[in-house]
Amino acid sequence: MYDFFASSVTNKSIFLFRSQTTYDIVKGHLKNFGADMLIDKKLGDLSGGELQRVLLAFATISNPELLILDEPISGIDNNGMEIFYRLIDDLKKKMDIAIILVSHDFNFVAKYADRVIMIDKTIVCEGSPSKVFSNEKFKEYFGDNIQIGGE
Amino acid sequence: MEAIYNIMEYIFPFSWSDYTFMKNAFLAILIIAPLFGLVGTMIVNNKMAFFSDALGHSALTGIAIGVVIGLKDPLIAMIAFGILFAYAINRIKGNDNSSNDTIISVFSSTSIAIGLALLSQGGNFSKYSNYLIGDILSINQAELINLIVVFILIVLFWIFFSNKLLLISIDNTLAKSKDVKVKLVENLFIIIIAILVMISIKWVGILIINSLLILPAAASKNISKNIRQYTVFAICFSTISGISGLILSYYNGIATGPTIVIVASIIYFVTLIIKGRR
Repeated sequence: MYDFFASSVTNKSIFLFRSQTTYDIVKGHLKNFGADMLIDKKLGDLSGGELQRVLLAFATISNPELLILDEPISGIDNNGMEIFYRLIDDLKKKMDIAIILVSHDFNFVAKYADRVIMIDKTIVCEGSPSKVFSNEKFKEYFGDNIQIGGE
Repeated sequence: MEAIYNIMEYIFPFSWSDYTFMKNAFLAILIIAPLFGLVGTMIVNNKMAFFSDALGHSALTGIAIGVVIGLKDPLIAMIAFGILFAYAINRIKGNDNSSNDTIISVFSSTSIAIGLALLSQGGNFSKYSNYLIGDILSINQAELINLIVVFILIVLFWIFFSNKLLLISIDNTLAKSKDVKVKLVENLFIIIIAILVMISIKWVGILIINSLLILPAAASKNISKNIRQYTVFAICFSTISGISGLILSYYNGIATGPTIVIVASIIYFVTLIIKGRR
């Protein structure tokens, strides 16, 4: 895990030495994702949810301005989904990253998105979550009785 | 050179160190075995074992081409053909949707067949059978210098590109997302493998050269926890099997290449047991 991150962070050959500075940087970054205790594990030994968090950490370690996620929570249980979305929300606020996320999970979209675009080949409707979810076209596609944002 | 020989005679007061050819072979293994261990780590990581095997076999065609155009030492032809061969496989692998092992197999058998056909012309194949099992005792000083040049080349490559190779071995797309020029690094790496394999074939032999690349790294992978252990163990295993293989073969009158591989495979099985116990 450390090797995996270090190989992208530093130009120093990681097969020769392990740099404590890099180690601390990586560990500090992983902490944001609740994954700092995984640093000495092997990449192949991680569980699905752990791997997802680690990859998210990997994608953001170089401070990108834009993060594009395509159905990032597929194959994760409900609990893990909640954690993952909270993480992304944190990222947005703390690191000031713009995030484009593709999802079919309307509850989470309603809770966390600033702006929603509904796409079927072309843009069907767009705006704030409440605006899109109350739109006629949205109801045409998904039916009237869909429950969104139960809280 | 004399100074090195004298030092060796001093360190190793055994009967084998009286012979210059044994001292040359010892030095050659000391240079080349760590390289096999080092390069092997990324071959194993990138799942290229079959590829490097095919590359070794393609040496036959390289030798044949060298003979046909009348070179005294076919090494240049072997390296040139090896690079071309490796590049061709890599190119087609990316463009074609047949599975990789099929493509590699096709290339491998074609080049073996062409090599055998050309070399057996006139019933003279036995002249070249040396290349099949290799003969490390035939190495001379000029060839030792070549090995040192290759050693420096590969170590430099490793210092600059090993991080990127590691990222590629995890995932191509992931590596690209971190601005790694995947194609470039891959192509440089196969050129490195081609040069290392071709320059060593005369001494190690076509039939077993791949085991030297794969076994130490595979054994190391069994017991290592991170990339530094992986590299160090692979280099140690490779050097230990090289040196002990040479000395064992001297006392038992067996060919050196196979002895080295037997030692390396014993190490592999021991690490496998250690891994199983953990």
